[in-house]
Amino acid sequence: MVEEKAPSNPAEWVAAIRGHRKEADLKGALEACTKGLQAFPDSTDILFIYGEVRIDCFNQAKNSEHLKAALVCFEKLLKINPRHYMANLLAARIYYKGRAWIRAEEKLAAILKMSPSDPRALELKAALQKMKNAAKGGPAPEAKEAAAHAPDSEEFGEEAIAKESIEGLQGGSEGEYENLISRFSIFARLDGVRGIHLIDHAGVEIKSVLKKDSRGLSNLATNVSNIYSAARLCMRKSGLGTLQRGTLLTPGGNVIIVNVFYGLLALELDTDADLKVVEMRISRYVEALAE
Amino acid sequence: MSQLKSILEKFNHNEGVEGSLICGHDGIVVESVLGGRFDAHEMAALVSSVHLAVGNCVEDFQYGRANRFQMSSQNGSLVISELGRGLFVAVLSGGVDAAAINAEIFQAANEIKKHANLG
Repeated sequence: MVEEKAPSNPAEWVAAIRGHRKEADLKGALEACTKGLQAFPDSTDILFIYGEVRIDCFNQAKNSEHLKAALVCFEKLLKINPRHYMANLLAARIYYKGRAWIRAEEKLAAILKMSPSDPRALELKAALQKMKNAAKGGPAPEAKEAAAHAPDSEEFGEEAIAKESIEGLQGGSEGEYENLISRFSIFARLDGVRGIHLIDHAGVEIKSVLKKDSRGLSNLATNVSNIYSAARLCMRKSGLGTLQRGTLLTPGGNVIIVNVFYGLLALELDTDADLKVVEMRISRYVEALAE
Repeated sequence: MSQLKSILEKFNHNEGVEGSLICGHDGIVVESVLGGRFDAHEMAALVSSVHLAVGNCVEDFQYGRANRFQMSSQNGSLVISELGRGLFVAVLSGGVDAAAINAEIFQAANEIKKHANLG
């Protein structure tokens, strides 16, 4: 009998947890999260996916303990990385539904500080304001109805979070990610590439391949996801259509972010990398995916 | 006509350039020469938000300061160049060879720095 090898890094744990989620094996996913966090207690990726799994559990069992556990995860994650977009957003939604408005506002303020025009944060902020006004000024019928369904302040009622309110969690499936990862070889032996990263739209790292001399970058997945969100909105609102690519040039290195259907491909490059050659490889990569 | 406006107009004469603007890091428009389909104030605010995300990223990566960030789609590109205390934004049409226009962007940004108190 071949013994299955235990994951050896956070990305492998995240992949394993995703596998359980895909098969709707929430018990297995929770166990994998616990083991992953025992091995890597400060991994923001594992903390985030653990929060997501807890939300899945809540949606299935309607037990508010799962939401409390999700909040603990997101809060711990946000202590490590206060700029994690999805952790701030999901925590804000849970607080909002639990009528912990001040805390919800804090989380939204963190998002709006990074991205003042973020539509999801603005939408929730407007809803929050409406609820607060209704609470102050007495019985607006819709607020009254909402309050009747809402749990007591600071408590999380079992119906507090509807499944549809947790949007933006669904990325690609394992198979789709596999397809994206299997084509990484297109960038093999390309001069000036320090690292290749696949990240989902929520800012969770799916796969990273680093060159031996690469030092790794702090909060790469979150930063790439934040830039992508802001840039996508900028292009769309400017009437320039769907963002396909972002190229960042700095004295310390260059980063190219490519929107690849189910996720984001981020290429970490030397400052002297030939961008034209890299662009050609990216085009080949995208074409190969479309085949 | 202000010197900044004339720099933008000269830059806009390059093939594939649809417009350009200068704004502060706070998203306030300093000068703009954009076609009618673009709203300078909205674009400056959006660009400022992108710049903030890019700034956070570069700080975390310890990469120094972002020189340039280019966003591309099938319909066109937006290039944000750092001016020190402001941003120079070039709007390019789809299919334009961005590499060919890079030198022009660099030159225009340098001229703006010389003439405005943004550097």
